[in-house]
Formats: sequence, C-alpha cells, structure tokens
Amino acid sequence: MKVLVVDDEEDVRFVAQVSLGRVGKMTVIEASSGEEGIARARTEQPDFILLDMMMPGMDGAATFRALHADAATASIPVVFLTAKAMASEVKRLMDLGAKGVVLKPFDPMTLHKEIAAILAS
Amino acid sequence: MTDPLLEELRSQYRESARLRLEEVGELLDGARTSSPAQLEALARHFHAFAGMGATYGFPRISELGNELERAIGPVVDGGTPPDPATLARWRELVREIAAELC
Repeated sequence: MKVLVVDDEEDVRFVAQVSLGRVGKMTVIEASSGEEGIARARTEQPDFILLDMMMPGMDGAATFRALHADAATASIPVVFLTAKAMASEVKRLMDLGAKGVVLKPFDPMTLHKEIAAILAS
Repeated sequence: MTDPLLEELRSQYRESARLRLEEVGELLDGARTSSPAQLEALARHFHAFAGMGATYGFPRISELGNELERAIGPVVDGGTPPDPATLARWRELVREIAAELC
C-alpha cells in the first residue's frame, strides 16, 4: 500500500515514515505543501493521502478541494491529520467527502491500524 | 513500539524541538514589536509542540503546547503584540518545554 503524507512539518513526515513505513510496512511518499501534494498525488497515484489540516499557504481544506476537483486524484481517499481543537472543522470536511480523521497527537505504533480501520469503513 | 524505535523517535524529536526552540526564542525576543506574520509563525511553532510532543513520547510538551496555542490564538486574531505579562507567561511555558527535553 502506498501513502502520500502531506504536511509542512518535518516532525510529522518523519514519524509517518517510521509508523506507516517501518511499522506498518507501507510505502510512504512525502510532500511538504499542499501544492506539492497535489502534484505528487497526480504522478504517484497513492492508495490514500494523509493530509494535514493546518499548513501555511494552501491549507488542508484547500488542498482537499483541489484534489477532489481533479479527475486524476478525485477518487483517492483522503484522511485528515489534525489537532483535537480543529475536529469540528474536519467533521465538516468529512461531510464533503473525506474518508476519515486522525487526531494529533497519535500513537506511532498503532497509526497504521487506525488508518486501516478508517479505510475499511 | 519496541524500545529502540521509541528511543529513535525521542532522539529525533529532541534534535528538532531544540532547533524549534531557538526559533521560538528569537520570535519571543521580538514579540513586543512583532508583525502579524511573526505572530502567526510563533503560533505555528506552538501548534507543532501541541500536536507532536506526545506522539514522540513527550506528553507534557503537548500539554504545554496546547496552553501556548490557546493563549496565542486571541493575540493573533487581535493583530496586536502580546503585553509583557502575557509574554512572560509564554516564556515560562517555553522554558518548561525545554526542560522536558533534558
């Protein structure tokens, strides 16, 4: 399974590499901005996208809308990564079509299982 | 998580958090005359502590980051620099974060 992690924070991308890559045995590709994430989604066609909500510039919501407006990426499931304080906002985005939400902080040992459950739902 | 993996994560976080604390210190030094963009940068750092501290095995850092994030939100929204008392409280919380990394 191939996941695209879109987050401006290196700490998040690193822990995703460990948690999803080394523990979860997924292929993890990265993007550090919404714009880069859209470009990589088009070329890499990941099985799902783990997308941070709060990014400078093009934030998670704008990135999500762009992904779903593009036929090349519209069918890729998107799981949002966000802080608890923003959960209500993400619920609104889930209503628009996001596959699920992972709240920060998360357990790096079980993140892959949490995401597998979201994708299977 | 196996202990070596947890320790690898904690070691990585100590390094990145210390670099972040240096940037936070510089932003706090200029906070009384900060532009909105500088305050937003500070808020992003606080948000990062809140979100990732516990993920890397530092739950107290997430708590401190949450308090900082709650405190800076109204200041960013108001568009005016923090008053000295507020700034002093932020510095105190940031010092606690630094202590957690030791």
